[in-house]
Amino acid sequence: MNLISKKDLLAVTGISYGQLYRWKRERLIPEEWFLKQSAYTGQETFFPREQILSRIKSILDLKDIYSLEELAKILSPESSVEKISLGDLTEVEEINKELLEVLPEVFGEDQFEFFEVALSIAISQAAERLGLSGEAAKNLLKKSAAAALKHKTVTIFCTIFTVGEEYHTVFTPNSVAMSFDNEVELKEELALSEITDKIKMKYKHLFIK
Amino acid sequence: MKGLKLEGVGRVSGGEYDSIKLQGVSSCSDNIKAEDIEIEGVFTCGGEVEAGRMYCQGVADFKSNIRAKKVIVSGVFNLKEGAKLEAAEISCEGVIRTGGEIYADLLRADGCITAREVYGDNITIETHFPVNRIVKLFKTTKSDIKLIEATTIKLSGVTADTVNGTDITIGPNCKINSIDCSGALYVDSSSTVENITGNYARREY
Repeated sequence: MNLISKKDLLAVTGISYGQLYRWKRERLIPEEWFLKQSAYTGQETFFPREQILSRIKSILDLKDIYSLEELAKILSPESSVEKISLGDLTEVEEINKELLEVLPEVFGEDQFEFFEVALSIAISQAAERLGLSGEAAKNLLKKSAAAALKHKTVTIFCTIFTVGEEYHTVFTPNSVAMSFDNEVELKEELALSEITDKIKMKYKHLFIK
Repeated sequence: MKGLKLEGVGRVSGGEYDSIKLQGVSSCSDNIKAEDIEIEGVFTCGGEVEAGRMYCQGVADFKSNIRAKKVIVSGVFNLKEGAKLEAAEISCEGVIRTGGEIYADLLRADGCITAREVYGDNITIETHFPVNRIVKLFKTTKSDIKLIEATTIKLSGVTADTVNGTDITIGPNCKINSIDCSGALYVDSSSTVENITGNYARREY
């Protein structure tokens, strides 16, 4: 994982210690992103670079428009809406239309949890980048769903890899460096929370109560 | 919602309240949420506490996290190792002791604070001598904190391992191992500081 130290973060973004800790206290920055590690100066705090920089930019862009409480709802990785209907999801252009058709079959109902929406978008976007056919994308989502549903949160990482021609996924609570043998080819690693950050901002009326 | 007032010995049931006033010896093993909590006696709480205002004039022991808008301590406030105290504003004329973290936008302490870590925006801890009778009773005469990190920090009578901040004032009777300062720094001649780093400017008091 690409990390940034707290000191560098403050220097790069221009925010103060007070802002950083107020936003943490207001749950705008997840506690899991504060990673304490040993350094030559003692213990230092690091953050996942891309996630924290993107989050601080969002907070700085929005803090004059929304209250901190409203911002916490917008930026929380989870949605404040319990279920989203298939009809509403047709509006979400990030979900591959062919995948949309199989969502009731994959998740067993016509109403979907936010986590299931995030997974569908992750597979749709990965399929597009990897040049997968509609059928291959459907198969990958079907295979992934059961494993991903064990976590039931969007704060997980999805690693996509191939064994021969076959695509597979693995889900982990943290970003971990995995070492595969020669027959496995690593294709992508995705943080579901990065996807949810973007779609919650774009489709506020669907995902924020 | 409901209000609760306990004057004798009793137990507080977990749940949501408008206000809680505890004057005797009481305990609670569940989570409680209230707009206003006043502790004047002895209170032990095993669950998490969420409050608008918390006022402690007695002795309170907490085993889990506390989250409040404002915390005022003129008695003794103990948190178990690992428990977190989070508030927009903390005012302490008594004693706060925790093996965990304290987060506050504004912290003003004339009493004593013993904590592993204190984080915030504007932190002032000035442990005076002589200290008030409650502080004397608990034989605590100096604040002791491993790490203090905030935008503006003002300390007197504090022992700390690390102090990181933008503007830092180290008043009398402090013993600090290391300071990292990126703004204005003042260190009183009666205090000792082992290491100073950062792009700081020395200033007169």
